[in-house]
Amino acid sequence: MGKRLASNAPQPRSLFPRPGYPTLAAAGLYLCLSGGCEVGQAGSSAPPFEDAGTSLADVQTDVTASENPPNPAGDFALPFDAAPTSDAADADIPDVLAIPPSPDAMIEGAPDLGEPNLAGGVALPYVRTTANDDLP
Amino acid sequence: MELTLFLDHACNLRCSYCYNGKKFGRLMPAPVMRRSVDLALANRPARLDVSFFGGEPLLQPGLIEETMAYVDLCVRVLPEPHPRVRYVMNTNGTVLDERALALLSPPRDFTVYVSLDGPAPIHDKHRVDRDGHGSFAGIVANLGRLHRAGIRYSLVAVVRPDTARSLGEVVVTLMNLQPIQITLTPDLRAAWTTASIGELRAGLHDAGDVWGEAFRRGHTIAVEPLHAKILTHLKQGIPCPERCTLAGHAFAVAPTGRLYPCAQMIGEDCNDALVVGTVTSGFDQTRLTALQRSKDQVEETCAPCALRDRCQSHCGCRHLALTGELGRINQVMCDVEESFILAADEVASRMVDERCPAFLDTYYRKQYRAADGATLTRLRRPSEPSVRG
Repeated sequence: MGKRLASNAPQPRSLFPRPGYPTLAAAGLYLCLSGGCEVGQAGSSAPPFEDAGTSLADVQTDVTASENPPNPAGDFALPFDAAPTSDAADADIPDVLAIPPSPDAMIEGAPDLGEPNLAGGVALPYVRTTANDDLP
Repeated sequence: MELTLFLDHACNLRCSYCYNGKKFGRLMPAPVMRRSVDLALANRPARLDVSFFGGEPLLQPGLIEETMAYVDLCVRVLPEPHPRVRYVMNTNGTVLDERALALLSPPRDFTVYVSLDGPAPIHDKHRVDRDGHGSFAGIVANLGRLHRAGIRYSLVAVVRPDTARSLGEVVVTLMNLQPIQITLTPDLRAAWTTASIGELRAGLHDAGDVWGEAFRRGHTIAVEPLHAKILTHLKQGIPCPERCTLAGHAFAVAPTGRLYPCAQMIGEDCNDALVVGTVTSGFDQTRLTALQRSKDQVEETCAPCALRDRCQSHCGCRHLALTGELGRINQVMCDVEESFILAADEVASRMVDERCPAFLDTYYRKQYRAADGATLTRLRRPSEPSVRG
C-alpha cells in the first residue's frame, strides 16, 4: 500500500514545472489590491467569484498601490487594449487578451441548465476528455 | 469580521472521519450567542459574516432565527454606515425541512455549504447515520428542494485515500447537482501513503478534465482548491486566499462561550490550549499571541520551498489535523498541496492553450473587478520607472 507519510518531515520543493499560463502581470492586467478578488472556501463566507479582501499590507513589495484613478465602472472595466508586458520568461506564453470574450460565459453561479440531475450519476453531461497516461 | 457560532455538538450523522468528537447535546444559550455578536461588532467592522457550524446547525432552527433577529437589531442601532451582513450555513443537508428552507431563502444573504462526498457508493462509505445507513439519497432530494426554492448552494466533498482515485467521478456527480461552487477537502487526518498520493494525483487529473470540459461548455464554476491554486499563480504569490492569522479576522464560539481561533479547533471543546478567551472576558491577547507565534514556526520550515506562496501550510487548523501541534506539519501536507497545484496548473495551461473563451473570461477579464470602495491597481513591473497615472 506504500509508505505512510505522516511520520515524515516536510519536504520543501525546489524543482517544479513552470505553469504554462501567464500571470496577470505578464498579461498586462490590473489587479484589485484593496478589495481583493478571492473566492470562498468551505467554512468561509466569501461566495465564489466575489470579493473577500486582501489588504495592501499583505502585498509583496514589488506591487505598488498606484496613482491610477479608481475604476469608474466598478467592474470589468479592465484595460483590454493594454499591451501585454511579457518579459523573456513569459515569451512563450500566448497572448490571452487576443481572444474575444465569450458572451455566454458567466462570472458567478452556474448557468440555468434546468433541474439538477437528481439521479446522482446517471446520464451525466460531463465526460472525461483526455487519457490519464501523462500524469506527472 | 467572520463570526462562527458552533451551535451544538449534536448531529444526526456519524461520519467516520468527523473531527468534532462525540455528538452530545450542548446547545449554545441565547446570551452566549448575543455576546458573541456583540464581540464581533465591537470594532465596527465594515462587513460581518455570521457562520453557523456544529454539530448539525439546522437541528437548531430556533437559535438561528434568534441570531438573525439579534444581528438585525444590532446593525439597525449602529450608526451608519451599517456593516454588510452575510450568513453562512455549513450543513450535512439531511434536515432541510420547510422551516430550514424559509431560513435560507432570499432576501437573506445566505451561502449554503452542503457536504456531499460524491456518488452514493463513495458518499455512503463514510457519511452515515447512527444506524450506519448512507445519507446520499436524502441529501440529493434536499438539494432539489433548495434548487426549487431558489437557494444557491455549494457542495463540499471530503477526499480520503480510499476515494481519491475517483475524484473525476466525484466532480461529475457534484457538477450535475448544479452547485455554485465545489470544494474538494482532503482529509489530512487520514493515513495517506505514497500509493494513495499517487491515486490522489490521478483522481485530480480526472477532476481537472471534467472541470476543463465544463469551461468548454461555458459553464464557469469554481472547483476549489484548484481555483485558488490558479489564482496564486496569476497573482504571483500575493496571498490568495488570505493567509491564516489565527483570529486576525475571524473567531469561533463554542456553546460554552469559549473563543477559538477557528471552528475546526473546537471539537469537544475540551482542549484548553486552543482557547483564546470567552464571550464575557473577551480575547486573551497573551494567549492569542503565543498561539500565533507557535503557528508561525511553520514559516521557517517552509522558507526553502518553491511552492510556499501557493500552499496552505500557513493554516493553523491544518497543522492540528496533520500533527496535533500548531507550527508543525509533515510530508502529507507537501504531497497533497503539490498534487492540487500540479492539477490546477495542468488544467489552466490546457485551457489557455486551447484559448477557451470561458476560462479566459473568468481568469483574465471578469474575475478582477473592484470590490465596494476598492480600486483597481496595476502591477508595476521592475523595468517600469513608475506606474502610469
